[in-house]
Amino acid sequence: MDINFLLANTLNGVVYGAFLLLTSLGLSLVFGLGRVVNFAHGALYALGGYALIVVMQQSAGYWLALVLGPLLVVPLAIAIERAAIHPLRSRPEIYTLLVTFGITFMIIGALEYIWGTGTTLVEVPSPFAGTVTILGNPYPVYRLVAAGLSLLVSATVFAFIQFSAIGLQIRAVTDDAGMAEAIGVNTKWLLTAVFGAAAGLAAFAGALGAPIFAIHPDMGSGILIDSFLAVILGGLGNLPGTAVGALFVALTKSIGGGYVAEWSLAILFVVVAIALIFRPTGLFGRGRVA
Amino acid sequence: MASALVVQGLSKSFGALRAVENVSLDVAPNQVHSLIGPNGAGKTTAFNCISGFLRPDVGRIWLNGQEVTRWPPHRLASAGMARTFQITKIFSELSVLENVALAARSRDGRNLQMWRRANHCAAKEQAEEVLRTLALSARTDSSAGQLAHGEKRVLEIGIALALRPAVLLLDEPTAGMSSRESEHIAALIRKLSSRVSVLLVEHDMEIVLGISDVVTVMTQGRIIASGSPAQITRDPEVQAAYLGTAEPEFVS
Amino acid sequence: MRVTRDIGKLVPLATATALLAGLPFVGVGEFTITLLTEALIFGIWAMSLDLLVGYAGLVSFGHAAAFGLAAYSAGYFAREVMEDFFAALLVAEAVNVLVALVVGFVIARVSGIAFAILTLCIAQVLFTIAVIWRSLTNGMDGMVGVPLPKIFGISLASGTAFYLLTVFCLVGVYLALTRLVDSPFGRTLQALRASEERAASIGINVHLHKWLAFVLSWAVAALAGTLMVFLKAGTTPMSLHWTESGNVLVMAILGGIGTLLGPVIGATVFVFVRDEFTSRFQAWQFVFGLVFVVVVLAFPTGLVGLLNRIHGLRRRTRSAGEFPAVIKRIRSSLWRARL
Repeated sequence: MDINFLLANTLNGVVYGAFLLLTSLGLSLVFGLGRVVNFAHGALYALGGYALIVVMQQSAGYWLALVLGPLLVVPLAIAIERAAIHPLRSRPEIYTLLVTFGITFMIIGALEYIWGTGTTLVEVPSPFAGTVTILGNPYPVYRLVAAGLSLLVSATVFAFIQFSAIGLQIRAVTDDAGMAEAIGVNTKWLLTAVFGAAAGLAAFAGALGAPIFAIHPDMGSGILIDSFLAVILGGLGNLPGTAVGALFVALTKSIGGGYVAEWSLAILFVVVAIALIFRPTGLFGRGRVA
Repeated sequence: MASALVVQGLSKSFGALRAVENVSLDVAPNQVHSLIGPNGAGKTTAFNCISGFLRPDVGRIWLNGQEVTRWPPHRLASAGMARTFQITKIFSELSVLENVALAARSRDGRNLQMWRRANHCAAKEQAEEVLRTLALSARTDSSAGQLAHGEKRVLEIGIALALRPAVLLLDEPTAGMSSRESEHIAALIRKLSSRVSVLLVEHDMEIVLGISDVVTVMTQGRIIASGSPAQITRDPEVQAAYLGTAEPEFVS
Repeated sequence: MRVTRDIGKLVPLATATALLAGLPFVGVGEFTITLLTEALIFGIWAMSLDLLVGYAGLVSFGHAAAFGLAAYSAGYFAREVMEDFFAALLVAEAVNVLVALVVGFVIARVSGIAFAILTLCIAQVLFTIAVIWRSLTNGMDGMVGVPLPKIFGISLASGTAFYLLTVFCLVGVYLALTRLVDSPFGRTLQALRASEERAASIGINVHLHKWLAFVLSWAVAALAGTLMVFLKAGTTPMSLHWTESGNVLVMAILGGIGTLLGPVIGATVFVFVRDEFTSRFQAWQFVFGLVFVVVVLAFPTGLVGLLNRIHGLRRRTRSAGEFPAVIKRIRSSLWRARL
């Protein structure tokens, strides 16, 4: 077995895991908070990629676009929450899955209408265009930088949830929404805000990944499925579990996929299915799956 | 006569919390055996372990002399153990009759029949009979979700009865009921005990002391006393821990 | 009494069947008939989904898997071995049932969201396989050259003949499924939808029932997939794509789940509206998504529920009738889909 091949795949896995962490965190947060299953999370990720292009077309540099692009997505996500998800509050969770599914179609349809179905490449920003040598193998610098940024943002999110006043409210609602409401937490607006923030995270991931994965309207469906798997594995709404789930999914995909070509999704499905047989509530117990 | 239900050394922990510790019970045939204790004493956990909804960490269970430890709920139900739920669980969009008929068909092993019409099964007559016994006949065709709370609680028992169980596990059957409705339920349980052994979890002390043959008292996951209602009311430890007549901290 | 009631139900069905079957003979054009054939095939497929979503309360987000898999197996068999319709159908059934037995065994252990997502995964796995296993599937270009099917040695060369075959299949499936949902098994599925815990407590083997429902649903979908591969003379991996899973869910919900008839109506409306839109309006997908969002938000009982409500309102003005049962049923199907 070629150790260099394994190394490259492991590195790719870690990089992808960092992206997956960003998207699954948002998915898990929104579920934990409002029992909202956001199928449009992948479309919002794609939207982030396109928002990056839009800002860059205004002759902004990559880094500025990386910040501004996702910020453009946030108000749209807030509008979506108020218009389509908020009215479903008294209905079962599956409705949120259905409605966000429709929204996915709307977003992807709009992207295809405006930009066509083709793929758009984004150049790697100049200071990180080269490669570094890791254990004698060249590896693109930007991937490491992007992974580092993802991890940094994710860590910030964790810290925010853990230490800020709003984070405390989020944890309280996730734990027991009724009780939190009783002590005066405004769950409605909290959900709207967190939904917007989660969409911002997804869009940020899409923009950050653009130079690595390229941009096309359906770019979100792959990462959406992987994020769902990560969240299910970690236990829905359980953030630390989600983090482990994301890394697990990414490593299984890239390491397994390195040896058996494109069968990685099949392998992953089998692994997750087996995990669910033994732990129906996710690997970390507390979450709710069934 | 052999016991209907025997539980031996049952323990269940959730993390550091020892919800049930070394609980043993012996329910004799045609007896009403009550399990009482303050909130959080582990009654419902014990109940869920016995009926297969939770897996006990340790402990063994026998139903009519057959060991049924770690059997899944549906197997236990088929073997003659029926239960109700503390929070009403009925099939609310199906009719009252259908709720009971489902259980009757399940008992007859007809669940998997795909071609026969459900309404043409013998289960329908059995279900009607159960509804007559429970004085629910007038609501036969109503949707179960439309019943009044008290009626839903009775229907819960009806669903369990349609299984013609050997042991009936009732989890707070009078929860949320008026005192008149509670009396009705108590009389019903007493009547049922001529056909079936009952393990009852109940808060209403008057009912428990009135209809039980044996009362077992739990606090903090352990059994502290077990005996006839008369013995239990005299037991000083029970008085201290549960009835609150001599709460030491407050007295001193 | 029983017989008359059954006849009372059969008369409208027989009338509807006769009307459908008569369409090609009263001057309806070939193009419309082809479109209608497609709609009715989707109708069969949507009914198979309704069994899961509307009765067992299991929302599948990957029902394209059952459709596309059957299309590939029937198409491959017809092209390589024998162009007989029934033989191809048998092969597709065998493949679908086998896969559903294996996959369903795992999937039947979960419900709600996990069920939705794991079904989605299966469809994506099959989609990937269809793309990469080029020697068998011809990759992204899709399988082509599926011959016209033969029935009892006679080639179904005309669109009308194939249309009649489809009508026959649709009515057969409808009859069988109405019977099934009214059987002890069907009622048991509805009990699972209400509460799996309660069902287990009365001796119902929850896993076994969900597993069987899954396999049955895939078996019915196999018929739809087989018909479609012959109608289109081929298939592509897109028949397994998640958007296709979404389409069938839209058809079922648009028509009204938990009614069997609703999904057929939903499929018909879907196919004709899509045909109108794609030819005239580029952002069809956007409009389609919008319509679905509006339906989910405002008309969760679908078209059948809407019709019932109008009918119910009219009746209520005459007598104080109760809330139409069908609406309640559909609504609770969705509401009760356990998560």
